[in-house]
Amino acid sequence: MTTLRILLGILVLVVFALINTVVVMWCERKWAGHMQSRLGPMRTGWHGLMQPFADALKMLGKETFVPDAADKILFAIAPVLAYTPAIFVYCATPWVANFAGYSLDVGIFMVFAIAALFPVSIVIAGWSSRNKYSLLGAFRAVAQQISYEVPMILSVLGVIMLASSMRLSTIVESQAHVWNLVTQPFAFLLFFIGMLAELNRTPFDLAEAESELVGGYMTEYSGMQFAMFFLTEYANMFTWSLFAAMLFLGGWNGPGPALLGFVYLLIKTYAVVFMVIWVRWALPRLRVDQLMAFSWKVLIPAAILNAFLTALGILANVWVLIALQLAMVAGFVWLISLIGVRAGSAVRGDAPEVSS
Amino acid sequence: MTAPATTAVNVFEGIPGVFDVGVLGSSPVRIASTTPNALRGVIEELKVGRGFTHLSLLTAAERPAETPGVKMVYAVTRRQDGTRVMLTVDLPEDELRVPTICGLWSGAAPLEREVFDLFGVVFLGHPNLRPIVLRDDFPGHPLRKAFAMKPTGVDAEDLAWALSSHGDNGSEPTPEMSDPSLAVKLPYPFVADVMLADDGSGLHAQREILNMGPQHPSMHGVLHLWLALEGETVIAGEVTHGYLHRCIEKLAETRSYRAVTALVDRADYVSGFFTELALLGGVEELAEIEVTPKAQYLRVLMSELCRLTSHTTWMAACGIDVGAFTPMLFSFRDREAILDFFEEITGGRMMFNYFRPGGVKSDLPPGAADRLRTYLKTVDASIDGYEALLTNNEIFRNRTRGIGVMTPEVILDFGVTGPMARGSGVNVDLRRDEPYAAYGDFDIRVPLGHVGDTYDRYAVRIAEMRESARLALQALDGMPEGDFVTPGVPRAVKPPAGAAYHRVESPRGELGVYLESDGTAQPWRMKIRSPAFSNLHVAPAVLPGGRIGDIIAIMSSVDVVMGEIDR
Repeated sequence: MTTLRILLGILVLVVFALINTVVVMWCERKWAGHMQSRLGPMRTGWHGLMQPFADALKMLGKETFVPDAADKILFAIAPVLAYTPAIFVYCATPWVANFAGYSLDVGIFMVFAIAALFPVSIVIAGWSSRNKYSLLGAFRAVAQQISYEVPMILSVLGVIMLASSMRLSTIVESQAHVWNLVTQPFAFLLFFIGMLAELNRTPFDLAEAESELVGGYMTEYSGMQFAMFFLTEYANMFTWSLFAAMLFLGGWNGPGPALLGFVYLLIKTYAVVFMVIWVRWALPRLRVDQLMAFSWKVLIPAAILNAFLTALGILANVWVLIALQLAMVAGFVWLISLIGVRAGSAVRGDAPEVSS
Repeated sequence: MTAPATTAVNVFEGIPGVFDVGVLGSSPVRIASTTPNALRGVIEELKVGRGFTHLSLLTAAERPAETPGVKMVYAVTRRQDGTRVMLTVDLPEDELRVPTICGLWSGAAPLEREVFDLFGVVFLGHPNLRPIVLRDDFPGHPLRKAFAMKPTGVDAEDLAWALSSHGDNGSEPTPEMSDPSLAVKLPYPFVADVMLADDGSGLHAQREILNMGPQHPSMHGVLHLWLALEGETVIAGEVTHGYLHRCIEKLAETRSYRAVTALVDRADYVSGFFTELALLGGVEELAEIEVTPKAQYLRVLMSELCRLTSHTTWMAACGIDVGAFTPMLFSFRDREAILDFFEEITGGRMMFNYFRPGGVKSDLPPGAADRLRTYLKTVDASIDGYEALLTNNEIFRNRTRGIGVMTPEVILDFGVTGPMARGSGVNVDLRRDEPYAAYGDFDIRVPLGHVGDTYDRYAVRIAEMRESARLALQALDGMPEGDFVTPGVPRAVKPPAGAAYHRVESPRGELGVYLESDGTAQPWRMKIRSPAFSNLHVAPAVLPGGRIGDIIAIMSSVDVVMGEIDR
């Protein structure tokens, strides 16, 4: 009986994850289209709603091509291994009050631990392809994911302190009156930046930087194996947005009956998804050394400072906490603009001189 | 800065080995001949002693049938006063050898490779004399008149010969070729050299070769970069091209001048008007055809609109290359509006064939001028939109500032022109310095960069887009009445025997067409001086030290159009 329930639960979660992945894909194409003064997919179903299914069908119909020199076994394992952690973390997710697959004491810890498996699959993909672009992409991805996990985990420390627990449902409950976004805006900023890097999205999409590395670690993948990586990307996007919503946007908290909490959670998740997509279509990409420097020289010190000042704020009162956070956000934005301006005006002025 | 008419006839005075001093046709170009042995001394004296620092043209032409052989043509410019000089060297059939001048201009190295490839002239002391547009095992030298044009290019016999000789291109190495006293070193490392370990024990353990292109998303078509990497850092890079070679120069020798106009549209397919204009400038100079004032204004108008579309296309590619996708769609939306005007005025959106000897094909359709004026007033606002996405973005600045820096010396050394040169603060613009068409009547402002990095080249091009819109408006406002084409220009233009070299300022720089006529209705030789070719070949000197991401950003600031480079 228990086994059946677990199997049923897994089935429901996998289907749920797949549906949301597909919806996120559609959102990306439509939202990107509208941001770029075009419509996005329009032909398949109402406003292109069936486009992801059409894509999936096309991918299924394609040949799974394996390069001659590739390590065939590892090459086949990598896409599967990539997709697994994306779904696996849902088992610890509290969907509504008192409803989670497995409410773990160290929920956050487990989420980060499982998410850390993702770079392993990238290395396997990059290494087994026997392609220089794939290998460079894999190197970049690993360096990036390891560097950005640190500030991301550190930024969540404040949230854990506020809830006095690492259990996800307790963290969500602790936001019943005021969201962590209000008391921890700086932590949210750091978490969001780290999230973009974990997702390999612009401005941190170096691992698959199309204009540089063709397709990065998935250069050699085609057909359904490619689709697995593609799905992983969007599944991860949904997953991390879901956790951002739970950690900072109050999760299932909201007015009305408890069951509505699920709807609130989805709305908040898609709000974060929108932001991720928005950033992607607005910004260029960093360079690899700038990417590493940004994590180790800016984000990690900032995240440590955040944890320290949050602890101080908790000792004082909530107003001090919010004031400290806002000061840190302002300081961070100022610092970033300073870096940009420095780079821009290393020499006399920016605008070209005009000679006639 | 127009060429002074009298003083410069004697630019050759006192240089030993120069004979047949004169003037090229009706143009202000001073011309002289020299011998292969004296060539290096003459050019060195011209460059170092007399200030002709810009190598504009290096090419060759077949000599007439009665004196078989090849004529080398060198054109140099003194930028201070705009004096232009052309030097020819006659090489008899059995001695197709001439000393290389790539010790004076590194930019001459790829041009000499092209002459070697297409004419079989051997450049003594050249460090890297390999075919450049044809494949290494291609038999023969196609621009020689004796080369048989066959539908397939090679037949079985040719192919067997090519395979057996394995790519020595038919030129036996001569003792002079390995003469160490002639050897010239280029100011950049070759990939093959840096791949060897420092102690000569074999391959360098930490380095690998990365072939970027010809199939790569940001190689602007079919460019091929050959990079030696250490981690992500580029140690040396070389450029390979020729994948888009379409024999335009050879085909031109079999077509009438009017048909060649349609042909050269295909050379630079992003901005066809400029090649047309350079070609017709040469044809009109040779055949002494007058162009009506209205046609001159129409030519300026179309050139400036075309410059706008070309820079818009470049901006799209530039954005994508640094990872910003959205500017591309905005810029293509705006480019579309101009292409609609092109279609309405010329009948084509890409291949125009609009300029004709003596004028243009047709007048502006009724109402087009007013609609164009209305549109051009919105261009500034569109460009503000692109700039909002890129210019002031911290990431974009960090990506483009301080990389691919080219000093004015490098610009001259490699013959770089156009926005690339202006990005480094080199104040050249043929529209102003050598006014052609109606440019003499226009108020031309030339934007100049400060340090010559990728950002400066970006900023210069953005400023040029605004300038182009302004100049197009000026052309519309100042458009004179009258005929759009000189009546009575014969259908088959037959210029008298002679040569002409006409240059225009294309979106990529100095675009010249060197024409030689033998008095028939087809050109004897037509050579396109491609600005993108020279701009591209500066890459080996600029790329080392950058990371892979930098390579892409630098190459995007070159504004590569492979069609024009390979021709």
